[in-house]
Amino acid sequence: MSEMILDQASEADLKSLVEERFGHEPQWSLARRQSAAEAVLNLDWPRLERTPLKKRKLDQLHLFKAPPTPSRTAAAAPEGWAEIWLDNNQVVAVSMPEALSLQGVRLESLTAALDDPDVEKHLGRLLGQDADKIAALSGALWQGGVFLRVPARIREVVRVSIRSHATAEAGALFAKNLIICGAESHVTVTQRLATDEGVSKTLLSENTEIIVEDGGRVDFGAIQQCAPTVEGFIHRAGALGHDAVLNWSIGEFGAGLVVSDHVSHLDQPGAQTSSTTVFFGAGTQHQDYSAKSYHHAPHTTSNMVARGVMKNKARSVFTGLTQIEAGAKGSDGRQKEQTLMLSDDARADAIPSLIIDERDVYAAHAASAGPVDRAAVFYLTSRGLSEPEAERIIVHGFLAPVIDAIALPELRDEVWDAVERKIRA
Amino acid sequence: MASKPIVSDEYQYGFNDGDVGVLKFNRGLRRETVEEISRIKKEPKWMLDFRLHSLDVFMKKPMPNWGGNLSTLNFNDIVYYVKPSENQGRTWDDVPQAIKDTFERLGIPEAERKFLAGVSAQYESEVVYHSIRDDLKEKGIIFTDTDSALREYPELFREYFGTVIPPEDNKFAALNSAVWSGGSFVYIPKGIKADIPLQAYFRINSENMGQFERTLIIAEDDSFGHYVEGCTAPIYSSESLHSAVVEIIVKDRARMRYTTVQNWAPNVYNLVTKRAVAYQDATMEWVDGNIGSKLTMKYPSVYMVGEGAKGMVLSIAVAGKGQHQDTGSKMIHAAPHTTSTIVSKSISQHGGKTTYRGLVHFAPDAAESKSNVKCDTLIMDDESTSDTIPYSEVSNANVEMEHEATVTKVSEEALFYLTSRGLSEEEATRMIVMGFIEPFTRELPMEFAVEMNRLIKFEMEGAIG
Repeated sequence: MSEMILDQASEADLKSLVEERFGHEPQWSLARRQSAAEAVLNLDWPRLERTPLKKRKLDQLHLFKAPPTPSRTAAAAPEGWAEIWLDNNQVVAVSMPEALSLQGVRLESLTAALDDPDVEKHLGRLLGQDADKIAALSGALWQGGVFLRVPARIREVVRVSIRSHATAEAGALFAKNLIICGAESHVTVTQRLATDEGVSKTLLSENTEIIVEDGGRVDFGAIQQCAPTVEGFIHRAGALGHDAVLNWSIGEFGAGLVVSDHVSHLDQPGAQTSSTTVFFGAGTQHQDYSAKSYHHAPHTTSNMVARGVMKNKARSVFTGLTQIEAGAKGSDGRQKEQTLMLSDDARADAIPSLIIDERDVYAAHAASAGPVDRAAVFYLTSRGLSEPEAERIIVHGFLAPVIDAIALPELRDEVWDAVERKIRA
Repeated sequence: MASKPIVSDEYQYGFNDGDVGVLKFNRGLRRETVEEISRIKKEPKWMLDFRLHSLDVFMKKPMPNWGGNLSTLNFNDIVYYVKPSENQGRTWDDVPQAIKDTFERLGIPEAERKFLAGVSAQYESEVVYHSIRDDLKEKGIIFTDTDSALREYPELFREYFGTVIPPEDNKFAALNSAVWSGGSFVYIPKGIKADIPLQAYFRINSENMGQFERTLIIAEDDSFGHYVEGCTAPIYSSESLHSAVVEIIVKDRARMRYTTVQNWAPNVYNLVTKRAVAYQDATMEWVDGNIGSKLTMKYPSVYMVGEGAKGMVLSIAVAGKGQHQDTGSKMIHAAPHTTSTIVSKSISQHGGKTTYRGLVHFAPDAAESKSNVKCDTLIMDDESTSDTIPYSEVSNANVEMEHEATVTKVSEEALFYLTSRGLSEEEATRMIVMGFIEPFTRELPMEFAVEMNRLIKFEMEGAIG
């Protein structure tokens, strides 16, 4: 597996790499990759107000000339679920209940679905490839990802699990996922991101676009538990039709550096989104999260909740944005961000913004940060618990209202397990 | 509901009384302008050096790329210094008639007759009238204009001047530091309580006049003072700039309150830096009303550097047609057991825009500190907008930070209830708006509260009639 280091690559190198690896793709896809390759060297790394990337030496990344090879195979999927396994962004297995395939549900590798007109139409619509250098690298070199399309008016809830795993020496991984939920269907997706423990740095870029057509509903849950060597750039965006619903449940635990955002475009009247983010920073993790809701149409609703726990020397930034455009009458946008501080060396910033260009709305946000309640610790220790155990119970109590509200039961359990591991770490 | 303005777009104090300035500079800012200001004022060398250094800083600093639209602000189109009369008016009789007339319309003499401590009225760039009640003087309180303070109390002045807001702080603080003129200087000795508010009115008069007043307040240990500043200005067609710097030092256990009602004409850029340092167990309170100006960018701050210090900001902003009120507050918790409170009320109407922009920062040393921030906005019509951008930075586990904000319209339920009780929709709307800003008016000195209520009531009726 030969490789190329980003800062030594010329535009011609990148373009020939694209040709070599993706030359077989349909013309439209190849053309997009080539134009992104042309942009890579001209674009800057993402400029984040509170997450400087300069010292991270991202330009020392290894771009493998061949995709990293898969190392695992799939286990059995849970009963009634469709499941897709990816290893280093290569799909290694898909399991699909017959009932779902008969109804026309498609779950497959995105690279295998490029002939589908929906892919050409929607891929890159919400997450463009010209925002910054990582977006362009992803546009040029994305190795794989998931395509899920659920036809309109499927009566039962379609349950889909995406398990994505990366090996330690993967270098730079760029994934794209596209989810299309047809009108009045209901899809539940859980995405698990994990990597092996390793010594060398991995750039993990993960772009997920979700289209929810009129009256459709998507419950999207994700849990990220990557190794500390990973620097993750995880972008998710959804576009909602008439009366469509998109619920996000995001659990963020791993990676040394993570920039993770999710955006909902409430494009049509009656669209609704809710989002829950649970994060836990420990060690020297740097976490930059944002949740954004854009109300483009009347009578749209958003409700974003985040709860974080910070310990050791971890650093977090949480940016919330509720933007209500002029004309989006009768809209309702809310945010709530709470952080529990377990250490004096940790730092948590919160920037919950409201940008309101319409009179006939309700918009609100609340943010708070505070320590473990010493009176509660005293009470619990006086009942015979050790201090770490008391603190653990208080962290549980703090996170329970949001974790228990996660609609997907087995994701909920995994989030609890992740919290437990972080408390003990 | 049809939109009803709270403060009409017709500017009530939009009269002007001709150009009474005796000495007026040409437009634009050059090194010579700064040297000339300093020469006329017969300032010591260190102040000239300070001004020139500040000018360099100003020239080097880029314009802020956030906040309001500053693109039509032309620094070369501003007169940086106007001296309205040869001597400082010691008594009311000495004040030129034209200026008196303006103040009469603003109600200053009336205010003085009642209970005001001293009137320090800045008309154009110099303080033209200044009086201080004898009992303040007896207590050892110094309340004078800043230029006189530099002459009369040189050591005290130099010890504190520029220590809270250095010229390097921001572009407009640097500009003020280079060309400042007038403003108030207040010194309250140890243990002294100024039990009546100290008041000053400011006013821009000449077209394209920049006002760069500089206020310095020192409250020694265990003292108390309340400084009140209000301003209105005539309408002019071209832009005007007001860029003040207010520095306040509140020492151990002292308490200082600074009240502003800002009602600049709608062509004024109001770009002001206000900051206080609060020492051990000291309390600093900003009561800040922003009604006028084209664009205001003002974020009164409290740096709580002593254990147990407290900071408070209570503010309202009203943005009408063509106005942008970009206001907020900064609370820096740099010591243990510090407490801050921010209450912000904004109203936008007739295409106006309000922005709340704030920062609450807990440094690693801020153990056991608390902050509570509450921002509420009313949007009155379909053309108006509002942004709320609060930043919080927490670097200590043992602090409590709470922030809440809402953006709403006038409640239809409340309107329905009030109109069902026989009130007209106009009266009901007014009542709701008055109730919305009541936490602010309640904290104003009585005269200001009356003025404020009258302004809002009168303007609403006027526009509705």
